[in-house]
Amino acid sequence: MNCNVLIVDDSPILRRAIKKVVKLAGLEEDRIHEAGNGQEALDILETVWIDLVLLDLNMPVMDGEQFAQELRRRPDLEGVAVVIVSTEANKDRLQRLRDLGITDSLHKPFEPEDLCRLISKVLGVKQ
Amino acid sequence: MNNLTTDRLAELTAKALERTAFMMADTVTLDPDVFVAANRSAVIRYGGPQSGVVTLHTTDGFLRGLAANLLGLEPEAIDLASYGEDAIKELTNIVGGSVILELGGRECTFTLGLPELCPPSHGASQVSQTCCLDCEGHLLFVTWEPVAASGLLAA
Repeated sequence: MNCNVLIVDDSPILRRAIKKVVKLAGLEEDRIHEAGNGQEALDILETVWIDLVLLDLNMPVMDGEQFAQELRRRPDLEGVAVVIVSTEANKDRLQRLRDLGITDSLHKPFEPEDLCRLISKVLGVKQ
Repeated sequence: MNNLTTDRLAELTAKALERTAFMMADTVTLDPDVFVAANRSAVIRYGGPQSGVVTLHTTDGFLRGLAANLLGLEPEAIDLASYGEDAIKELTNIVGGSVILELGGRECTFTLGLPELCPPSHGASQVSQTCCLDCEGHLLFVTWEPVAASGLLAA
């Protein structure tokens, strides 16, 4: 699958676990990028085209919602799909994120198959 | 005010373990003598319509198994100082998020802090509720402590 995915989560172990699932979805290792917070993610987006961002919300430095707001201010990054992978389930906050252009969301705890299906769905639509 | 029983707390934790790490856990009777043997702890605070603290206490053996399952590695390959500690923080984050949801987080706005490691004695309070799970031979204690005052996350 010729897509680049960016995993944004402050937990290194969860990034590694998610990376395994992304590989199971058919992406090669060198197409999977990682960031520990929203600011690091924006820095990566400056240098690499990313098709899909898997975004945690509860992070230090710059949280997921702030990242989504920054992304919306960047017309050059309009085509980047963003899926929330978080413990967040509040209807109002999720609606705010949808208004910011978030593609989909997955609530923790999730089964790896759920994430795998979601990645395939989002990237499948893009291809 | 919504409330949470120790049985429900155990169910939420077992679900988090099963879904995230494929680990099966059963509720067991809380033995205070065993509780003090838990040498690894992490805590997360939440605020909103209700405030509180969720703390997980466990052992090196549990952390090794949890990290190994998350990463798909053998337990012996796990470096507890990095992935072990990160694993308990992430599990605390997930259980904390589940507690908020149980307290009405879908409709009400709660704020969840960041999980952090804490001294093993943290959370051992008279007003807390604690459940104990046996997870593949290792014990995990989960403490939920509602806090009356709001503004826990004001900083």
